Amino acid sequence: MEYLLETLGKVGFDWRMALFSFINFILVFWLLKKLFFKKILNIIEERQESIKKGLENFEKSKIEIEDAGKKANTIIIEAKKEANGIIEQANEMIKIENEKMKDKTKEDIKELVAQAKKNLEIQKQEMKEEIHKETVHLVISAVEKILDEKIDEKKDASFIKKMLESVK
Amino acid sequence: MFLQVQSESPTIQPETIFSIGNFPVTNAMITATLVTLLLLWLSLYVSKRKRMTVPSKFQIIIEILVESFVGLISTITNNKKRAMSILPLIGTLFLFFGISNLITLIPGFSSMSFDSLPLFRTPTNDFNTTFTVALAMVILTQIVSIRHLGLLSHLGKYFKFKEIFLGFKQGVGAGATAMIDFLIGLLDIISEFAKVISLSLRLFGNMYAGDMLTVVLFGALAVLAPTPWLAMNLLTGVLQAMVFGSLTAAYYSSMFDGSDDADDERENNKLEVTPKVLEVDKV
Repeated sequence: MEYLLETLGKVGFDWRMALFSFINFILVFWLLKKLFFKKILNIIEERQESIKKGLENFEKSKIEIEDAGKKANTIIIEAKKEANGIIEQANEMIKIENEKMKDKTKEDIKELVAQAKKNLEIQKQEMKEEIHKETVHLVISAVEKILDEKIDEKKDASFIKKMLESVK
Repeated sequence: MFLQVQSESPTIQPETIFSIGNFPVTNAMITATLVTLLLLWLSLYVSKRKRMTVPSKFQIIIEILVESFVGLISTITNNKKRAMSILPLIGTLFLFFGISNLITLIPGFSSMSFDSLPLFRTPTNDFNTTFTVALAMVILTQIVSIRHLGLLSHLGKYFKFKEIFLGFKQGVGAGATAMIDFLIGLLDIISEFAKVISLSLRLFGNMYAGDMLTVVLFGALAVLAPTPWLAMNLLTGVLQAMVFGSLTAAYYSSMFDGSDDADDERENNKLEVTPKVLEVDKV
């Protein structure tokens, strides 16, 4: 042992200095372990965890966005289909309404035509009666002038009657 | 000549600046205490700092440093779990020796003197520091091995009586091979002591030789030589700390050799899976 210490002493070994170095190194080790490495490793671990979570969330969000996109596309396609259906239905309804309008217009026109015909008939009848009356008066006047005399009321009446019948 | 700076060659033993009773306080001890205080400040600064979502530049540097420690130790031990368990120890070696090697390169630092003696000396330029730490590291690896294998199995690595018995039971040839193994086991005991000597003398020798060469170079040419030499010393200081830490990690790892291959494989598989997952994420 003495030989060993003597040999080591040649390169500057002194047990007191060695003891100090040992205690100093243990102190440094303890300090760094407790205060430095523990804290830094925790920070690194937390960051790695948050990065991992972030990546997972990113993946999740990507999938959700894809799903949402697909859903949106499906909704758009369905909406388009529905819109097309509504448009078709509206077109059908317009056609039907048009047909109805046309029919109604036709009926109205028919009614108007019928009404006009009726009116014409009435007017024609009235005109006929007017003409008849005028004609009778003319005939009477003409006859009176030809006969130059007044026919009594009885004769006049029978005459008019005969005339009218003949006119008819 | 004005291009030369004559300075005294460093002594093997650090200079005693003052004594407390029978206890000598050397310049290497003062520097080591200074390094300890620096590391204490760093530890307190890191521990009291609030965690920020966006880390500061200083925090980024510290995190990169620690992550590179983890990477290097993982490569040496080939096992992430084991790397994490010895990170504080190897990290302390890196930081303590790294800062110790570099601190005296600060201009003017080594020129300070007390009672015509240099006030500061690189702690690793003191054999007591390197020897004590190397001894502690080798003892630690022995303790780890005993805890991992048990006392008898651990001793069985050096005294292979069982192998001799089993060998001769098989035949003379196998017995002779077992005898060689037994002698190799005894040589392993010597190699454990050699580890202490090689670890401590490598670091001490390099740092001492560095200081000695500085004196020689300054004595020869004090104008051009110091700058590249100091730049190289920066690299050497970090490299020596790395070598010491890496070798300790390798010694620590060698204590588990062949004992838990299954665990190693599982751990390595875990390590391999992570990049693949990230690649998938990128895709």
